[in-house]
Parts: sequence; C-alpha cells; structure tokens
Amino acid sequence: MRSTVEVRRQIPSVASIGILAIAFLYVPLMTVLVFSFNRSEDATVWGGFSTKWYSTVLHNSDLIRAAKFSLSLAVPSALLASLFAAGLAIGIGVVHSRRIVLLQMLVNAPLILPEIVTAVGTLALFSAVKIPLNFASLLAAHVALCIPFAFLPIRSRLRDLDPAIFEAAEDLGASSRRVMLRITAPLIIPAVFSAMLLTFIISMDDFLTSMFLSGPSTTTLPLYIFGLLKLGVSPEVNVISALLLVIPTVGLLLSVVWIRKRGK
Amino acid sequence: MKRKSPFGPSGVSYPALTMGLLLIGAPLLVVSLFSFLKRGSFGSGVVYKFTTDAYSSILIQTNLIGQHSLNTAYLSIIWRSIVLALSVTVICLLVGIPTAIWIALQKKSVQKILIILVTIPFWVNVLARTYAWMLLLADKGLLSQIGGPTLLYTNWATLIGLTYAFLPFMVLPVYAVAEKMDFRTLEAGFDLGASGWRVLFKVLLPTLKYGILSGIAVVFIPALGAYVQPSLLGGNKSMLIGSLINDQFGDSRNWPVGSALAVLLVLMTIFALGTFKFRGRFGRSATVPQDLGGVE
Amino acid sequence: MNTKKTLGKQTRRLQRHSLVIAAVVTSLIAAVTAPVANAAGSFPTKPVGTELNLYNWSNYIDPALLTRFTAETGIKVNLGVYDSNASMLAKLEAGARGYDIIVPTDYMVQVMKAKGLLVRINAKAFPNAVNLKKEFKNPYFDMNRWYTVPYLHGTTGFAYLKDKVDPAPTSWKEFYAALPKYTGKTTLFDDKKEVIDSALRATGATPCTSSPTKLQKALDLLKSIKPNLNTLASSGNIGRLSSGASVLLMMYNGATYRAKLANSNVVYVYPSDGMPLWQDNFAIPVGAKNIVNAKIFLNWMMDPKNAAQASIYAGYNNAVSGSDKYLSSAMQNDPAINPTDAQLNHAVAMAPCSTAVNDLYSTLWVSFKG
Repeated sequence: MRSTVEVRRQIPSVASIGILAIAFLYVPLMTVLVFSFNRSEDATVWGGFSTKWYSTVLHNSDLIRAAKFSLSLAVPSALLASLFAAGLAIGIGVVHSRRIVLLQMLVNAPLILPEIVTAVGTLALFSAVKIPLNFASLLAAHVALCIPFAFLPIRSRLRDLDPAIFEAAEDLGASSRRVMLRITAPLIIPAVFSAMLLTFIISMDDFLTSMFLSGPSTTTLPLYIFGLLKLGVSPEVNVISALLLVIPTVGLLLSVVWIRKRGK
Repeated sequence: MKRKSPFGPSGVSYPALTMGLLLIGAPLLVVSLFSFLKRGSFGSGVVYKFTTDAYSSILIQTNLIGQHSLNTAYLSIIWRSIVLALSVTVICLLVGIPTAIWIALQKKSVQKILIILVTIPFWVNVLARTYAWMLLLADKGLLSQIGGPTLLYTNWATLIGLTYAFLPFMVLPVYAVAEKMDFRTLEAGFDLGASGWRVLFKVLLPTLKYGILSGIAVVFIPALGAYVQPSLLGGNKSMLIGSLINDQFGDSRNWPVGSALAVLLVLMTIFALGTFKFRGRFGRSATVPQDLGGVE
Repeated sequence: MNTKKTLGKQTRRLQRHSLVIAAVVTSLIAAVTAPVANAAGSFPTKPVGTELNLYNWSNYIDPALLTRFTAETGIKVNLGVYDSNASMLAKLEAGARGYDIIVPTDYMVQVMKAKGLLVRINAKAFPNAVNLKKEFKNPYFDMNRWYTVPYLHGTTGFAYLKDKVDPAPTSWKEFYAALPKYTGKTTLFDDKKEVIDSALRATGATPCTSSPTKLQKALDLLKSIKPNLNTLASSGNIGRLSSGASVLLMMYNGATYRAKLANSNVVYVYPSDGMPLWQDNFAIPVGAKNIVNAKIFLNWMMDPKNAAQASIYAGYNNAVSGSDKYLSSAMQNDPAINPTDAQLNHAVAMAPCSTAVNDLYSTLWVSFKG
C-alpha cells in the first residue's frame, strides 16, 4: 500500500519538473520562431503575420557571404577532423602506452577545457611563430577543435565491434593495412558519418576560436551574427535565429531517420 | 616495443596526434610561457624576458594613488565567475536530476523522443539561443509585456542564459545512468518504511552518482569560462574570467596577464575535474544521439 | 678696367661654372624627383584584381555607396567591422594581415604611426586631394597627410529624449548626476577612453591627467552610477535611443541625428564642460594586399558627391569642400550635425594619452567594469 502511494507522490513532482524543463528549453526557441514572422518593425511587439523579414534577410549580401564562408570552412573542417579522428581511433587501438594516453588527452582536451583557453593559446602561438591569420590557420584551429568530437562516436563504434573478427583476420595473415581497408573501414563508415555531421555543426557554430583567429576575409557566420546581436534585438535577427534553429534541427532529424533506415 | 592495433596500422593515428600536439599542446605551452614574460613595450605582444609580474598584478594592484593593495578588481571577477558557475550548476542539478529521472521512467519510445527534445537545443547555434533570451527579457520584451521585470543586461539574465545553455549537459549524463537503473529499488526502500528524503539520499542519489558528477563537471567548467552569455545578456557590465581574458587579449592588450588568467582557468578546470572525479562522455559529445553514435 | 675685365672674366667663368653646376643640380634633382613625380602623375586608375578589404566601424558607411563604388570601378568591397579603436588595434597587433583600409580616429593614427602599422601613401598627391578643406590638409596627427585621408568628423556628447528627461542636463557633470533618475535606461560606450575622459570632465579634470586623486574621483563617479546603466555598448545605441530603451546616454552627434530621424524627441547635447572633437581617417595598414585598389577608393571618397553620400548616411560632416550642396537643407541646419561656434568652444581635439596614463586608464577601467 504504502509504496504505491509514495511512488505516485514522487512521480508527479518529478514529472512536473521534467515538463517544466522541456518547456524552459522550448519556450525561447518557439518565441523566436513565431516572432520571425512578425510584420512589425519592432522586434518584440507582435504586429501581424508576414514573411517580409525573411526576404530582407535572404537579400542581405553580407550575411550570405558570411554564411558561405562558414560553409567553406565547416566542410573541410568536418572532413579532415573525421578522417584524422578515424585514423586516431584505428591507429591507437585499445591498449595504450602511457605516452599515447598523454597525447590522446591533449587531442581530446577541447572536450572539457574552456574554449577561450585554446583560442587565446592558438593566437599566442601563431603570433610567436609568425603564422599569419588567414583561412589556412583558421582551418587548422577548427580541425584541432573538431577532432575529439569526431573521435568519440568512432571509438565507441570500434569498441562495440566483436574482437573475434580482427583476430580471425590476423590469423588468416592479413596485413594491418588490409585489415583497415577491408574490415575496419566499412564497419565504421556510419560512425564516421555521424562524426562528420557533428563536427560540421561544431565548426559552423564556433564563435570564440573564430573570433580570436579571424582576419579580414575570414568573417564567419557566428562572428557576423555576434556583431548584429550587439546592436540589440531586431526583426532581422529574429529571422536569422529562426533559420539557425530550423535548419540544423531538420538536418538532424533527417539524418536520424536516414541512419535508422540504413541500419535496418 | 611497438604497440599493435587490431584495427589497422598505428601510423594512421599520427595526423590526429600531431594536430593535438601542435594546436592544443603547443598553444597551452605558449600561454604558460607568455604568462611569465614581460608585456610588449607598446601594449600587446610580449618581450622575451622572465617576470612574474602578470601573476602578481592579478593578486596585487598598484592603485591609482600608487599604493599596493590586494587587487580586488581581478579577485572579485574570479570570485563572481565561480559563484555564477556554481549557481548555474546547482540550478541545473535541481532541475536536471528530476528531469532525467522523469525521462527514464517513461516508455522506451517516449524516452527516445524526450532525449531528442533535450538534445535539439544544442544543435541550434549558441548565439541564436542566447538571442532568444534577449528577445524574452528585453525592455518591451515578452516577459515585461506580461508584467514581469526587464531582466536583460543584469546578472540574472546571464544566470538564465547559462542555465539554459547547460541544462541539457546535466540531464544527459544523469539520464544515461538513470536509464539503466532499476526503479524497484526505490519501492523496496519505501516498503521498508523509509521516508521520501531518505530514499532520495540513501538510494537514488548514490545510484546516480557518476552521472551527477559528470553533469557537475560538464556544467561547471564551461560556465566558468563563458563569454557569449555574459557579454550579450549581462550587458558587458560585470566581467567574468572569460570576458576578462578576452579584454586582456583585445582592448587592454596585455597578453601576459591574459595568459596568466588562462593558466588560472586551466588550473581551475583540472581542480574541478579532480574534485568531481569526472567520468563518462564529455560535454557536447554527450548530445550526439545514440542513434548517431553507432548503428546496430 | 683691368680689374673690371678680370672681374668680368671671373664672373663669366663663374656664370659658366654656375651654369654647369645648375645643370648638374637640375639633372640630379630631376633624377631624384623623377620617380616621385611619376608616382604623383600616374595615380593608379586601373584596379589590380577586384578585391578590397575594408575594415570599418560598424554601421558607418552607406552600403549603397559601396555598391556604387563597385559599379564604377569594378572593385568589390569586403566589409569587416569593429566598434572601438582599441579592438581594431588589437586585431592588427595580434597579426591579422590583409586589411586594405582601416578607419582609425585621429589619436589612433598617431599611435599606429608610432608603431609602424601604417603605409605611407602621400595622400596630398592624390588627384582629388585638391577638394580637401584647408583645415583638414595638415592635421596635427598627420602633418602633410602622409598616411591618411580624412573620412568623417564629429563630437562625443550625450543625447536624451525630451519627452522623458527633465530637466535636461547640459554638461557631463549634470549628465552623470541625472543618470540615477533614469535607472536601467542609461548607456555608456564600451570604450575606455571615451568613458574615462567624460568622467574626468564631469569631475572638473582634463583628459589624460596623470593625477591619481583626479583619476580616483572619476572612478568613484563611474562606480556610483554603474548600477544605473543598462549596458555598456559602443554599437546599437541609435536603436536604443529611438526605441526608448535608453533615454539618456552617451552618443556621437551623427548617431544622434540618425536616431532623431526615427524619433523626433531625440536631442543632442554639446556638454559645456568639454567634449572631444574627433576625426576619423582612412589609412592603409601594413600587410595590405590591394594597395592600388585602396588608393583608388581613398581618392574616390574625396569626390564631393561621394563624401556627401557618406555624410548623409552616417550623419557626420566630412572634410571635402563642395559636398555641402548635396546635403538636404534639413541636414545642413541640424544642430546635432552643425554645432554653433559657441558650442564648438567646448570642443577639444582628442589626443592620445601617454603609455603610463594609458595603463592608469586600464587599471581604472577594470576596477569600474569589475
């Protein structure tokens, strides 16, 4: 008797907090979405439905240029980071020497270290050895930032694989290069795909590293938007934020569906 | 002796390891080095001459009247950052743990949907998420339209923005543990006549311990070094360590002090990691949906 | 006679000598000056490539003006923005290269010159330099215009909404005293120099003072009004003022003019206890890749019609004579754009402080922002 009463008393309170938390996460996002269709010049006061700010934003050439630049940075960042991360996961295997563990910690440091530290560190390094701030140096910094995020899904995929497959291959005399190309690579392709997706988003979203390392022709989308946000609320930013909400969400959901299908 | 990976040649790991060495290791080294150098004669940059000025100027200030005293300006910024990060962590704990349990109590299919819901905000640019709060909290914003106060450009706004950004960091690792938990142990506790609080502290929290500790670490540490939220929501008025480092490398052009503060932030990170015995998946990576992590 | 003859002979010889000398000297001068003359004579008219990277203050140049520049010259302008002299300098000093044109304020021109960050361009030799108003040809920060071309100039004062603020402050002293009445609706720039200078003026001191007690007094004043500020921001203030999010705030005159176009209650004040008169300039930083295109742009901006368009958009006066006729009469007569002589009496050219004073400013700024 007592248990059911207590658990029931417990569950509703947990449920109400949980529901509130989900609401807390979505009310702001929904507000932005709704207000992106606001006719009013005033960003915060509802003045009827309109898509006019969407056409304003889509004709903003600076925004488009920044978005294109971010894409041109995020695509190679994601590809390189995922490739390198796959190499890391394959090459270090499961048994690690102490030296490798230390190196691996360095590679993975961006996961936990506040980003501003590596950002100013990279700036200081580039300035000390006179590396100019341009596309290549920004790309290198983005790749380093992205590798650990790509590494995790790939490594967890490798860990889930049956070691017997690899033992068998070795017993049959396959070279490690052959094992990698014929066995490992096909098995981790889905994980590499999720790694690319994740790192693509991380590079697209990155603000701090880009802020410190940007030069004249390297204004990323977040840098451009940060400049707009400093101006305060505006109907244009409502639309930009709404787009930043919808595009990755749809992309994420589509890829979840795609991967599920592919998995089956 | 050469290690051997079952998955392929070990040489393929070198590009990533080199990147880590050159673009994470070397920057950390250079920052530590710069923190012990003299400031460049015209402001930014450094002169290669050893000094501990940067550290002492964080602790001790020569005030405008030329007297030496404890540098309350820097110390209060550091203190404020810690208090703010702790507050964010506590709120995330209070909201995140029940939410994670609530999710874990649902049917498997509902769980998956809820977890995707918790995850989605991460995939939205942090600036867009911060902007959403600017819209709500602004003067004439929605909160003030329904009779609430105008919170934009206050520390409260920073606190809300950071909590908003990091709440999923708390929910996900706790959920990861709660999902595997057997809730019948709770009923057993109640059956034995324990009070709700007793069950909470003696059964529930110990079981969820590792999830909670990971959650604390991945909320507290990034909150400590936050820059975007205080700058946009806090109105740039009260600095945090992140904004102070930015200022030293930016407008104030004092690289040694900026470097020293960065070193301090690294030390605080290591301390926090040690304290919370960090385990499990890290930060944003925890938000990769399981479905993307590996396909069955 | 003899002597006369001799004298005559000598004179002739001297003359011959001097002729020779003159010829040699002339040819020498010609040889030395030839490249200079050539450079001035052959001012580049053809762009090299089609790119130009302009690094400017945010919201400080008419996008339509840049579009027209592209249409007329075929040079595409990539615009990057900053919102304080200090952050622009920090970016350049951190090693960012490839900006072709930057827009430093007067005192920053001096600082950057001293650091060797500017390319010497001899702007006086540009074809359109003849259009420059006389008083802008030899500014104190760049005599002879070796490095810079003037852009716009204005003042830093404050602005208020006349339907919300009463009584209206007339000096920095009254401005700071009034801030507590409008808590949450007041803004200062996020700019160390502008804010500290104004606080020094409000407390009866002069900018760049090294007197610790005077600086301390300014700091005390700033700390006391900090709770009344909504934000420290160097951009976005036009919107804040015209929407009423801020009713009393530090403003540039041109920005105030633009806010007034949206809200007729906006008033600009020339503080009676002193205000900086600043001039922004185009300059080419070291490391610029498109110097020829940059020079074409600089010259183009000294054309009266183009300078006028810049003024109309930004609300500040320019240094090009003949541009006035393109301005509307409303703009020509707007008190925010055209101070009276009496108001100008309070204006002082903005000058850089010494490194030592700069460090004191930094200390003060961190204590204030905390």
